[in-house]
Amino acid sequence: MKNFTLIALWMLLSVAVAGCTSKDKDRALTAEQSTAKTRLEAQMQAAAQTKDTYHAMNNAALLGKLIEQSKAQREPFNSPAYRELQGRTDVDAKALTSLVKDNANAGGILPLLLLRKIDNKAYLGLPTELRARILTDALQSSRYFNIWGLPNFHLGDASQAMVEAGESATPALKRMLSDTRPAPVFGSQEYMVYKQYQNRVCDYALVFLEQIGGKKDFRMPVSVAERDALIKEIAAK
Amino acid sequence: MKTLNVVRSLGLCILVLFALTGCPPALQCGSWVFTGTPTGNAFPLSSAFTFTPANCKQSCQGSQDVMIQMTWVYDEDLKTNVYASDQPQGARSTPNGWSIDRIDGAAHGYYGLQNDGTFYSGWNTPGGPGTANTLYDEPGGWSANTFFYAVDVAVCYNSKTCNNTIVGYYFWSYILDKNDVGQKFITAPAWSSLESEFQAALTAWNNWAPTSGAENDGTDGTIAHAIAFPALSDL
Repeated sequence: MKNFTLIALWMLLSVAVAGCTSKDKDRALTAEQSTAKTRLEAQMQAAAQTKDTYHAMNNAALLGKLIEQSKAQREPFNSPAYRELQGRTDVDAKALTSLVKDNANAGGILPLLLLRKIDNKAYLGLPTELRARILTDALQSSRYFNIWGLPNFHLGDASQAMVEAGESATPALKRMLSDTRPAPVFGSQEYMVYKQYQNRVCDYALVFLEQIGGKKDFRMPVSVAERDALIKEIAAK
Repeated sequence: MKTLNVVRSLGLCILVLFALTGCPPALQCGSWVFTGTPTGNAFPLSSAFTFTPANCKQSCQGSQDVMIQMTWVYDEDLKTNVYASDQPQGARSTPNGWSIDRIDGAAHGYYGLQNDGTFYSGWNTPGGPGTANTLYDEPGGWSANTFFYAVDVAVCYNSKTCNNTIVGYYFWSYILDKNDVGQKFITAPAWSSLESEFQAALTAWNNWAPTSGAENDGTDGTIAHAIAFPALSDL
Protein backbone atom coordinates (compact mmCIF):
# COMPACT_ATOMS: atom_id res chain seq x y z
CA MET A 1 0.00 0.00 0.00
CA LYS A 2 2.81 2.35 0.91
CA ASN A 3 4.48 1.63 -2.45
CA PHE A 4 1.24 2.21 -4.26
CA THR A 5 0.86 5.56 -2.55
CA LEU A 6 4.37 6.62 -3.43
CA ILE A 7 3.95 5.55 -7.04
CA ALA A 8 0.66 7.38 -7.28
CA LEU A 9 2.25 10.50 -5.81
CA TRP A 10 5.16 10.43 -8.23
CA MET A 11 2.82 9.84 -11.17
CA LEU A 12 0.69 12.78 -10.20
CA LEU A 13 3.77 14.92 -9.64
CA SER A 14 5.12 14.00 -13.08
CA VAL A 15 1.85 14.82 -14.76
CA ALA A 16 1.65 18.13 -12.94
CA VAL A 17 5.23 19.09 -13.80
CA ALA A 18 4.82 18.09 -17.44
CA GLY A 19 1.64 20.05 -17.52
CA CYS A 20 3.35 23.16 -16.17
CA THR A 21 4.38 24.19 -19.67
CA SER A 22 3.76 27.40 -21.58
CA LYS A 23 0.32 26.06 -22.42
CA ASP A 24 -0.63 25.72 -18.79
CA LYS A 25 0.72 29.18 -18.05
CA ASP A 26 -1.61 30.49 -20.73
CA ARG A 27 -4.59 29.13 -18.82
CA ALA A 28 -4.05 32.07 -16.46
CA LEU A 29 -4.65 34.61 -19.28
CA THR A 30 -7.24 37.34 -18.97
CA ALA A 31 -10.08 37.52 -21.49
CA GLU A 32 -8.24 40.37 -23.25
CA GLN A 33 -5.00 38.44 -23.50
CA SER A 34 -6.88 35.40 -24.78
CA THR A 35 -8.56 37.48 -27.47
CA ALA A 36 -5.24 38.92 -28.60
CA LYS A 37 -3.54 35.54 -28.54
CA THR A 38 -6.32 33.86 -30.52
CA ARG A 39 -6.43 36.62 -33.14
CA LEU A 40 -2.66 36.74 -33.49
CA GLU A 41 -2.27 32.98 -33.83
CA ALA A 42 -5.03 32.79 -36.45
CA GLN A 43 -3.36 35.53 -38.49
CA MET A 44 0.05 33.91 -38.18
CA GLN A 45 -1.51 30.74 -39.52
CA ALA A 46 -3.12 32.65 -42.38
CA ALA A 47 0.22 34.23 -43.26
CA ALA A 48 1.86 30.81 -43.25
CA GLN A 49 -0.92 29.53 -45.51
CA THR A 50 -0.35 32.40 -47.94
CA LYS A 51 3.35 31.56 -48.03
CA ASP A 52 2.50 27.92 -48.78
CA THR A 53 0.06 28.96 -51.50
CA TYR A 54 2.69 31.01 -53.28
CA HIS A 55 5.26 28.28 -52.78
CA ALA A 56 2.97 25.88 -54.63
CA MET A 57 2.62 28.19 -57.65
CA ASN A 58 4.63 27.68 -60.81
CA ASN A 59 6.89 30.42 -62.15
CA ALA A 60 4.42 31.62 -64.77
CA ALA A 61 1.69 32.12 -62.18
CA LEU A 62 4.12 33.83 -59.85
CA LEU A 63 5.27 36.23 -62.56
CA GLY A 64 1.63 37.12 -63.15
CA LYS A 65 1.23 37.88 -59.46
CA LEU A 66 4.52 39.76 -59.45
CA ILE A 67 3.41 42.25 -62.07
CA GLU A 68 0.04 42.63 -60.35
CA GLN A 69 1.73 43.43 -57.04
CA SER A 70 4.25 45.68 -58.78
CA LYS A 71 1.44 47.77 -60.28
CA ALA A 72 -0.17 47.90 -56.83
CA GLN A 73 3.11 49.45 -55.56
CA ARG A 74 3.94 46.56 -53.25
CA GLU A 75 7.51 46.73 -52.02
CA PRO A 76 9.70 43.72 -52.93
CA PHE A 77 9.85 42.71 -49.28
CA ASN A 78 6.04 42.89 -48.99
CA SER A 79 5.20 41.14 -52.25
CA PRO A 80 4.46 37.46 -51.63
CA ALA A 81 5.33 36.74 -55.28
CA TYR A 82 8.70 38.51 -55.05
CA ARG A 83 9.53 36.77 -51.77
CA GLU A 84 8.89 33.37 -53.34
CA LEU A 85 10.58 34.05 -56.68
CA GLN A 86 13.79 35.44 -55.19
CA GLY A 87 14.44 32.09 -53.54
CA ARG A 88 13.97 30.03 -56.70
CA THR A 89 16.89 28.98 -58.88
CA ASP A 90 14.92 28.29 -62.06
CA VAL A 91 13.38 31.67 -62.83
CA ASP A 92 13.80 32.37 -66.53
CA ALA A 93 15.71 35.62 -66.92
CA LYS A 94 14.34 36.00 -70.47
CA ALA A 95 10.76 35.89 -69.17
CA LEU A 96 11.63 38.52 -66.59
CA THR A 97 13.36 40.65 -69.19
CA SER A 98 10.24 40.53 -71.38
CA LEU A 99 8.11 41.50 -68.42
CA VAL A 100 10.37 44.50 -67.79
CA LYS A 101 10.24 45.60 -71.41
CA ASP A 102 6.45 45.22 -71.53
CA ASN A 103 6.11 47.39 -68.44
CA ALA A 104 8.49 50.23 -69.11
CA ASN A 105 7.15 52.44 -66.34
CA ALA A 106 6.59 52.35 -62.56
CA GLY A 107 4.62 49.11 -62.95
CA GLY A 108 7.78 47.31 -64.03
CA ILE A 109 9.77 47.97 -60.86
CA LEU A 110 9.40 44.58 -59.20
CA PRO A 111 10.41 42.53 -62.27
CA LEU A 112 13.30 44.97 -62.77
CA LEU A 113 14.56 44.60 -59.20
CA LEU A 114 14.07 40.84 -59.26
CA LEU A 115 16.10 40.55 -62.46
CA ARG A 116 18.84 42.65 -60.88
CA LYS A 117 18.90 40.31 -57.89
CA ILE A 118 18.84 36.93 -59.61
CA ASP A 119 20.70 37.69 -62.87
CA ASN A 120 22.70 40.86 -62.67
CA LYS A 121 24.31 40.21 -66.06
CA ALA A 122 20.92 40.08 -67.76
CA TYR A 123 19.90 43.16 -65.78
CA LEU A 124 22.91 45.13 -66.94
CA GLY A 125 22.13 43.96 -70.46
CA LEU A 126 18.97 46.06 -70.38
CA PRO A 127 19.32 49.55 -71.87
CA THR A 128 20.27 51.96 -69.10
CA GLU A 129 17.62 54.36 -70.33
CA LEU A 130 14.93 51.71 -69.79
CA ARG A 131 16.14 50.99 -66.27
CA ALA A 132 16.27 54.71 -65.51
CA ARG A 133 12.78 55.29 -66.90
CA ILE A 134 11.22 52.61 -64.72
CA LEU A 135 13.08 53.72 -61.61
CA THR A 136 12.44 57.45 -61.98
CA ASP A 137 8.80 56.86 -62.88
CA ALA A 138 8.46 54.69 -59.78
CA LEU A 139 10.07 57.37 -57.60
CA GLN A 140 7.83 60.07 -59.04
CA SER A 141 4.68 58.06 -58.46
CA SER A 142 5.50 56.49 -55.08
CA ARG A 143 2.85 56.98 -52.41
CA TYR A 144 5.10 55.53 -49.73
CA PHE A 145 8.86 55.51 -50.03
CA ASN A 146 9.86 52.39 -48.09
CA ILE A 147 11.08 50.72 -51.28
CA TRP A 148 13.76 53.44 -51.49
CA GLY A 149 14.81 53.30 -47.84
CA LEU A 150 15.59 56.27 -45.62
CA PRO A 151 18.33 58.78 -46.54
CA ASN A 152 21.07 58.90 -43.91
CA PHE A 153 20.08 55.46 -42.58
CA HIS A 154 19.71 52.82 -45.26
CA LEU A 155 18.99 53.00 -48.97
CA GLY A 156 17.40 49.88 -50.43
CA ASP A 157 18.02 47.97 -53.64
CA ALA A 158 15.83 50.34 -55.66
CA SER A 159 17.96 53.31 -54.56
CA GLN A 160 21.16 51.51 -55.41
CA ALA A 161 19.74 50.67 -58.82
CA MET A 162 18.90 54.34 -59.31
CA VAL A 163 22.45 55.43 -58.57
CA GLU A 164 23.77 52.70 -60.89
CA ALA A 165 21.60 54.12 -63.69
CA GLY A 166 23.74 57.25 -63.38
CA GLU A 167 23.49 59.90 -66.08
CA SER A 168 20.47 58.21 -67.65
CA ALA A 169 18.46 58.98 -64.51
CA THR A 170 19.81 62.50 -64.09
CA PRO A 171 17.36 64.51 -66.26
CA ALA A 172 14.27 63.06 -64.52
CA LEU A 173 15.90 63.43 -61.09
CA LYS A 174 16.72 67.06 -61.82
CA ARG A 175 13.07 67.69 -62.70
CA MET A 176 12.10 66.17 -59.35
CA LEU A 177 14.26 68.71 -57.50
CA SER A 178 11.24 71.01 -57.65
CA ASP A 179 8.85 68.40 -56.28
CA THR A 180 8.27 69.24 -52.62
CA ARG A 181 5.56 66.64 -52.14
CA PRO A 182 6.01 64.75 -48.84
CA ALA A 183 7.77 61.39 -49.15
CA PRO A 184 6.37 59.42 -46.20
CA VAL A 185 7.35 55.94 -45.08
CA PHE A 186 5.33 53.56 -42.97
CA GLY A 187 6.94 51.82 -40.02
CA SER A 188 7.84 52.18 -36.38
CA GLN A 189 11.16 53.98 -35.88
CA GLU A 190 11.11 54.61 -39.64
CA TYR A 191 7.97 56.71 -39.33
CA MET A 192 9.45 58.66 -36.43
CA VAL A 193 12.58 59.45 -38.47
CA TYR A 194 10.41 60.53 -41.40
CA LYS A 195 8.57 62.93 -39.10
CA GLN A 196 11.90 64.30 -37.87
CA TYR A 197 13.37 64.84 -41.34
CA GLN A 198 10.11 65.60 -43.19
CA ASN A 199 11.53 63.96 -46.30
CA ARG A 200 10.18 65.11 -49.67
CA VAL A 201 10.48 63.77 -53.21
CA CYS A 202 13.09 66.45 -53.96
CA ASP A 203 15.20 65.20 -51.04
CA TYR A 204 15.40 61.73 -52.52
CA ALA A 205 16.31 63.30 -55.87
CA LEU A 206 19.02 65.34 -54.13
CA VAL A 207 20.54 62.27 -52.48
CA PHE A 208 20.55 60.29 -55.73
CA LEU A 209 22.06 63.15 -57.75
CA GLU A 210 24.80 63.71 -55.16
CA GLN A 211 25.68 60.02 -55.17
CA ILE A 212 25.58 59.82 -58.96
CA GLY A 213 27.93 62.83 -58.92
CA GLY A 214 30.46 60.86 -56.89
CA LYS A 215 29.56 61.69 -53.29
CA LYS A 216 28.85 58.13 -52.20
CA ASP A 217 28.88 59.09 -48.51
CA PHE A 218 26.61 62.10 -48.95
CA ARG A 219 24.59 62.79 -45.82
CA MET A 220 21.47 64.89 -46.11
CA PRO A 221 21.15 67.81 -43.65
CA VAL A 222 18.37 67.46 -41.08
CA SER A 223 17.35 71.06 -41.72
CA VAL A 224 14.96 71.54 -44.64
CA ALA A 225 16.43 74.99 -45.29
CA GLU A 226 19.92 73.55 -45.69
CA ARG A 227 18.58 70.88 -48.03
CA ASP A 228 16.83 73.53 -50.10
CA ALA A 229 20.13 75.40 -50.44
CA LEU A 230 21.83 72.25 -51.72
CA ILE A 231 18.91 71.61 -54.07
CA LYS A 232 19.21 75.10 -55.48
CA GLU A 233 22.94 74.59 -56.01
CA ILE A 234 22.62 71.27 -57.79
CA ALA A 235 19.68 72.42 -59.90
CA ALA A 236 21.78 75.28 -61.20
CA LYS A 237 24.52 72.97 -62.51
CA MET B 1 -5.62 3.38 9.43
CA LYS B 2 -4.65 2.17 5.98
CA THR B 3 -7.62 4.07 4.53
CA LEU B 4 -6.54 7.21 6.39
CA ASN B 5 -3.03 6.95 4.94
CA VAL B 6 -4.39 6.61 1.42
CA VAL B 7 -6.63 9.60 1.95
CA ARG B 8 -3.73 11.65 3.32
CA SER B 9 -1.53 10.65 0.38
CA LEU B 10 -4.20 11.49 -2.14
CA GLY B 11 -4.81 14.77 -0.40
CA LEU B 12 -1.14 15.59 -0.64
CA CYS B 13 -1.19 14.70 -4.34
CA ILE B 14 -4.09 17.01 -4.95
CA LEU B 15 -2.35 19.86 -3.14
CA VAL B 16 0.80 19.39 -5.23
CA LEU B 17 -1.27 19.25 -8.39
CA PHE B 18 -3.03 22.51 -7.60
CA ALA B 19 0.22 24.23 -6.67
CA LEU B 20 1.93 23.29 -9.91
CA THR B 21 -0.95 24.03 -12.30
CA GLY B 22 -1.21 27.59 -10.95
CA CYS B 23 1.79 28.56 -13.18
CA PRO B 24 2.33 32.32 -13.80
CA PRO B 25 2.01 34.00 -17.24
CA ALA B 26 5.06 35.69 -18.86
CA LEU B 27 7.68 36.83 -16.36
CA GLN B 28 7.02 40.20 -14.75
CA CYS B 29 9.46 41.55 -12.19
CA GLY B 30 7.73 44.89 -12.04
CA SER B 31 4.82 46.84 -13.42
CA TRP B 32 3.89 48.37 -16.74
CA VAL B 33 2.20 51.66 -17.63
CA PHE B 34 1.17 52.02 -21.26
CA THR B 35 -0.22 55.27 -22.64
CA GLY B 36 -1.16 56.30 -26.13
CA THR B 37 -4.04 57.16 -28.41
CA PRO B 38 -4.07 56.63 -32.17
CA THR B 39 -4.19 59.80 -34.27
CA GLY B 40 -4.89 59.42 -37.97
CA ASN B 41 -3.09 56.22 -38.89
CA ALA B 42 -0.30 56.77 -36.37
CA PHE B 43 -0.12 55.64 -32.75
CA PRO B 44 2.11 57.85 -30.58
CA LEU B 45 2.71 55.98 -27.35
CA SER B 46 4.90 55.31 -24.36
CA SER B 47 5.48 51.94 -22.71
CA ALA B 48 7.03 52.25 -19.24
CA PHE B 49 8.30 49.47 -17.03
CA THR B 50 9.26 49.95 -13.38
CA PHE B 51 11.52 47.20 -12.18
CA THR B 52 10.82 45.80 -8.71
CA PRO B 53 13.45 43.12 -8.16
CA ALA B 54 11.81 41.91 -4.95
CA ASN B 55 8.86 40.68 -7.07
CA CYS B 56 11.27 38.10 -8.44
CA LYS B 57 13.04 37.55 -5.14
CA GLN B 58 16.13 39.45 -6.24
CA SER B 59 17.79 42.72 -5.28
CA CYS B 60 19.65 43.64 -8.52
CA GLN B 61 21.14 46.62 -6.74
CA GLY B 62 22.44 49.32 -9.07
CA SER B 63 21.12 47.61 -12.20
CA GLN B 64 19.94 49.42 -15.32
CA ASP B 65 17.16 48.09 -17.56
CA VAL B 66 16.39 49.09 -21.15
CA MET B 67 13.92 47.97 -23.82
CA ILE B 68 13.98 45.61 -26.73
CA GLN B 69 10.92 45.57 -28.98
CA MET B 70 9.83 42.98 -31.47
CA THR B 71 7.00 43.46 -33.93
CA TRP B 72 4.73 41.56 -36.28
CA VAL B 73 2.51 43.38 -38.76
CA TYR B 74 -0.31 41.73 -40.69
CA ASP B 75 -1.94 42.87 -43.92
CA GLU B 76 -5.49 41.53 -43.85
CA ASP B 77 -6.04 42.17 -47.58
CA LEU B 78 -3.02 40.24 -48.77
CA LYS B 79 -3.17 37.79 -45.84
CA THR B 80 0.52 38.10 -45.17
CA ASN B 81 2.83 39.75 -42.69
CA VAL B 82 4.56 42.90 -43.86
CA TYR B 83 7.68 44.88 -43.02
CA ALA B 84 8.88 48.47 -43.15
CA SER B 85 12.09 47.62 -44.97
CA ASP B 86 14.05 44.90 -46.71
CA GLN B 87 16.25 44.33 -43.70
CA PRO B 88 14.05 42.29 -41.35
CA GLN B 89 12.13 40.45 -44.06
CA GLY B 90 13.63 36.98 -44.23
CA ALA B 91 17.13 38.01 -43.24
CA ARG B 92 16.55 38.61 -39.56
CA SER B 93 13.01 37.51 -38.84
CA THR B 94 11.76 34.37 -37.11
CA PRO B 95 10.05 31.57 -39.06
CA ASN B 96 6.76 33.20 -37.98
CA GLY B 97 7.90 36.60 -39.24
CA TRP B 98 8.53 38.43 -35.95
CA SER B 99 11.60 40.66 -35.93
CA ILE B 100 13.51 42.89 -33.56
CA ASP B 101 12.24 46.41 -34.20
CA ARG B 102 15.21 48.58 -35.20
CA ILE B 103 15.64 51.02 -38.03
CA ASP B 104 18.02 50.05 -40.82
CA GLY B 105 21.42 51.54 -40.04
CA ALA B 106 21.20 50.73 -36.33
CA ALA B 107 23.94 48.30 -35.30
CA HIS B 108 22.40 47.41 -31.94
CA GLY B 109 19.17 45.58 -31.32
CA TYR B 110 18.31 47.44 -28.09
CA TYR B 111 15.51 49.80 -29.07
CA GLY B 112 17.09 53.12 -28.14
CA LEU B 113 20.81 52.33 -28.39
CA GLN B 114 22.60 54.34 -31.04
CA ASN B 115 25.76 53.29 -32.80
CA ASP B 116 27.83 55.68 -30.65
CA GLY B 117 26.81 53.73 -27.54
CA THR B 118 24.36 56.30 -26.15
CA PHE B 119 20.62 55.93 -25.74
CA TYR B 120 18.46 58.32 -27.72
CA SER B 121 15.92 59.68 -25.25
CA GLY B 122 13.33 60.07 -27.99
CA TRP B 123 13.24 56.29 -28.27
CA ASN B 124 14.13 54.88 -24.82
CA THR B 125 15.05 56.33 -21.45
CA PRO B 126 16.68 53.54 -19.39
CA GLY B 127 15.45 52.75 -15.88
CA GLY B 128 16.50 50.83 -12.79
CA PRO B 129 14.95 49.42 -9.62
CA GLY B 130 12.10 51.79 -8.81
CA THR B 131 12.76 54.05 -11.81
CA ALA B 132 10.76 53.73 -15.02
CA ASN B 133 12.39 52.42 -18.19
CA THR B 134 10.33 54.08 -20.93
CA LEU B 135 10.02 53.27 -24.60
CA TYR B 136 8.60 55.83 -27.02
CA ASP B 137 7.20 54.81 -30.35
CA GLU B 138 4.89 56.11 -33.03
CA PRO B 139 4.10 53.47 -35.64
CA GLY B 140 2.42 55.16 -38.56
CA GLY B 141 1.79 55.22 -42.28
CA TRP B 142 0.48 51.66 -42.40
CA SER B 143 -2.32 51.06 -44.86
CA ALA B 144 -5.95 50.17 -44.20
CA ASN B 145 -6.76 46.73 -42.81
CA THR B 146 -3.42 46.32 -41.10
CA PHE B 147 -2.83 44.84 -37.64
CA PHE B 148 0.29 46.03 -35.81
CA TYR B 149 1.54 43.90 -32.90
CA ALA B 150 4.49 44.60 -30.61
CA VAL B 151 6.10 43.01 -27.58
CA ASP B 152 8.27 45.20 -25.35
CA VAL B 153 10.85 43.37 -23.28
CA ALA B 154 12.69 45.00 -20.38
CA VAL B 155 16.23 43.65 -19.93
CA CYS B 156 19.08 44.50 -17.59
CA TYR B 157 21.85 46.05 -19.62
CA ASN B 158 25.42 47.01 -18.79
CA SER B 159 24.72 46.28 -15.12
CA LYS B 160 26.97 45.05 -12.32
CA THR B 161 24.13 42.90 -11.01
CA CYS B 162 21.49 40.87 -12.88
CA ASN B 163 23.12 41.78 -16.20
CA ASN B 164 21.54 40.35 -19.37
CA THR B 165 18.42 39.17 -17.56
CA ILE B 166 14.89 39.68 -18.82
CA VAL B 167 12.65 41.29 -16.23
CA GLY B 168 9.32 41.91 -17.99
CA TYR B 169 7.27 41.47 -21.17
CA TYR B 170 4.43 43.65 -22.48
CA PHE B 171 2.14 43.24 -25.47
CA TRP B 172 0.47 46.10 -27.32
CA SER B 173 -1.29 46.45 -30.62
CA TYR B 174 -3.33 48.70 -32.88
CA ILE B 175 -5.44 48.23 -35.97
CA LEU B 176 -5.82 50.35 -39.08
CA ASP B 177 -9.48 50.00 -40.02
CA LYS B 178 -10.92 49.94 -43.55
CA ASN B 179 -10.65 53.75 -43.67
CA ASP B 180 -7.01 53.63 -42.56
CA VAL B 181 -7.87 55.14 -39.19
CA GLY B 182 -5.93 53.78 -36.22
CA GLN B 183 -7.81 52.04 -33.44
CA LYS B 184 -6.17 50.91 -30.23
CA PHE B 185 -6.55 47.16 -30.00
CA ILE B 186 -5.21 45.25 -27.02
CA THR B 187 -2.51 46.28 -24.56
CA ALA B 188 -1.67 43.91 -21.72
CA PRO B 189 1.19 42.04 -20.04
CA ALA B 190 2.43 39.46 -22.49
CA TRP B 191 1.75 35.75 -22.27
CA SER B 192 4.43 33.16 -21.94
CA SER B 193 4.38 31.69 -25.47
CA LEU B 194 5.65 35.07 -26.66
CA GLU B 195 8.78 34.50 -24.58
CA SER B 196 9.92 31.74 -26.93
CA GLU B 197 9.05 33.88 -29.96
CA PHE B 198 11.25 36.59 -28.47
CA GLN B 199 14.15 34.17 -28.06
CA ALA B 200 13.68 33.21 -31.71
CA ALA B 201 13.80 36.89 -32.69
CA LEU B 202 17.05 37.33 -30.75
CA THR B 203 18.50 34.30 -32.51
CA ALA B 204 17.43 35.65 -35.90
CA TRP B 205 19.13 38.98 -35.15
CA ASN B 206 22.29 37.23 -33.97
CA ASN B 207 22.44 34.98 -37.05
CA TRP B 208 22.06 37.98 -39.31
CA ALA B 209 24.36 40.42 -37.48
CA PRO B 210 27.78 39.24 -38.76
CA THR B 211 26.54 39.46 -42.37
CA SER B 212 24.56 42.69 -42.10
CA GLY B 213 27.11 44.82 -43.84
CA ALA B 214 28.09 48.28 -42.70
CA GLU B 215 25.71 50.04 -40.33
CA ASN B 216 25.56 53.80 -40.08
CA ASP B 217 22.92 55.71 -38.11
CA GLY B 218 24.69 59.04 -38.33
CA THR B 219 25.98 59.06 -34.77
CA ASP B 220 29.44 57.55 -34.94
CA GLY B 221 30.63 56.81 -38.44
CA THR B 222 30.16 53.35 -39.86
CA ILE B 223 30.23 50.14 -37.86
CA ALA B 224 31.43 47.13 -39.86
CA HIS B 225 28.32 45.09 -39.08
CA ALA B 226 25.45 44.77 -36.61
CA ILE B 227 26.22 43.65 -33.06
CA ALA B 228 24.83 40.37 -31.72
CA PHE B 229 22.90 40.24 -28.46
CA PRO B 230 24.44 38.41 -25.53
CA ALA B 231 22.47 35.44 -24.20
CA LEU B 232 19.40 36.85 -22.47
CA SER B 233 17.33 34.83 -20.03
CA ASP B 234 14.56 35.41 -17.52
CA LEU B 235 15.67 36.77 -14.16
